[in-house]
Parts: sequence; C-alpha cells; structure tokens
Amino acid sequence: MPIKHSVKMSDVEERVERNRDGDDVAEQLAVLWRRHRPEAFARVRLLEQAIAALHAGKLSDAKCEAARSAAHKLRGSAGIYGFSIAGRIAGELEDALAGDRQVAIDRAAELGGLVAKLRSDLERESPRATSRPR
Amino acid sequence: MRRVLVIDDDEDILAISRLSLERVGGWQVLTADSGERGIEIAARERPDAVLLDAMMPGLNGPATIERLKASEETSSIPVLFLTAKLQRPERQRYVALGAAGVIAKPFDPMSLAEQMATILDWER
Repeated sequence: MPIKHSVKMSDVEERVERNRDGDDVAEQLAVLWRRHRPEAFARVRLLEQAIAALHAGKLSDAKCEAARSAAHKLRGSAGIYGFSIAGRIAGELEDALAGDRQVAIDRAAELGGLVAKLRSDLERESPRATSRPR
Repeated sequence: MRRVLVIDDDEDILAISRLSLERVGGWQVLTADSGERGIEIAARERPDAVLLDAMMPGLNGPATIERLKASEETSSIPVLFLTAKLQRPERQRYVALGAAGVIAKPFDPMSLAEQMATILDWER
C-alpha cells in the first residue's frame, strides 16, 4: 500500500533527523563544556577561597558575595551539562552563603566538604560528552 | 520563524540557550547579557517571546519585566522567567509581575524549546 509505505518512511526519516539533531546538540554541548570548564573551575576556586577564609574567621562580605554568585552560576549551568550532583551542591552552597546573617564559622568543615564533592563531580568526564541527552 | 530573546548575565547560559532553541526549536535567537540591554533589544526587535533570567546584577529579572510590561512597545511580548529557585512564592511573584510562565534551571537543552512552546501555546 503505497500511502502506508510513504507514511512509514516519513516516520523513519523524521526519527533519523531527530537523532541527528540530538547528536549534533550533544556534540555542541560537549564543545561548550570544554570552553566553559576553566571558568567553572575558577568559580570552584572562589568557593574554596571563601571556605578557607571562613575557616580562618576572615570571610569578608565581599568574598562571601563573590562565592555566593559563583555558586549561583554553577547551580544554573552544571546540571545542564549533566553534572547533576554539582548543580545540587552548588544550590546548597548558594543558600548557605545567601542571607543577611554571616555564615557561622562552625559550618566551615561542612561547607568545605560540599565544595570538595562539587569539584569531584565536575572533574568527571562530561556526561553530555559521552551520551546523548535523553 | 519565531524569534526569542534570551536575557541572562551568564554567557554560558546564553550559548546553551542559543544552541538549544536554534537547533532543537528551529527558532531565531537574540541574546542580551543584562536587563538594560535586553529592554533595548526587545523594543527594537520585538521578539515573539523573552526568556528572562531572574537573578542578574544591575537590573534583575523582576525589574526588567516591570519595565517591559510598562512600555507600550514591549508590553504584549510574553515573558518567561528562567530561575534556579522555583519555590511557589517566587513563581507567584513572577506571574503577578506578568510572566507567562517559569522555567527551571538547570533545563534540559533537548526539551527547552518544547517547554517554552507548551507554555506559550505555540504549535511545533
């Protein structure tokens, strides 16, 4: 039945096209991650510096705000590249560093542990680079 | 072809949104790295929709949508908020400011266009 055959072919073609688009987007995402990686780690370093300053009892408002902003950006972008653990931890760090009250010094070890986990997750190969999203 | 303006201070989010909306959505994408710049581009280009980051230095998302909605040139352009903080009070606040919807960060680049199209009732 020619009509049915034609419909079937167009379904297949559509699926192939969609897969091609998906692979293409995944490849482009991997390229973007390689470009963005140094900046992401610069943000992790800002967080590490802030936690070190908190340990030493010298976390200034400016340093705290810079670290909160770095956490906010990691929260928004890490998950997009497939680093869901890093994204979730960045959210926890942003919430901990936000607010009117100064961060309590006795949270330094806990927050330091979170930053270490965040770094460790980002040091993995990008999940988006090795598999297609969805 | 639909035209979408993405306003975000994070260049990386702008690049990912462009990739996602152009390649998956098949739309034309304009970008702005600040609320101020976004308002200028929206007034000049009249995009079909604006995807607006909620938290930006300078003019933040809520202040930006207030200005967009207050201007005759841009008041009818639907605005979607993009936010990492998606609690109910924030969502209600954005809707009260005139937002057509709210999209969570991080988003899936493969389904961002679909999410937008669903909220905006655009046929794909």
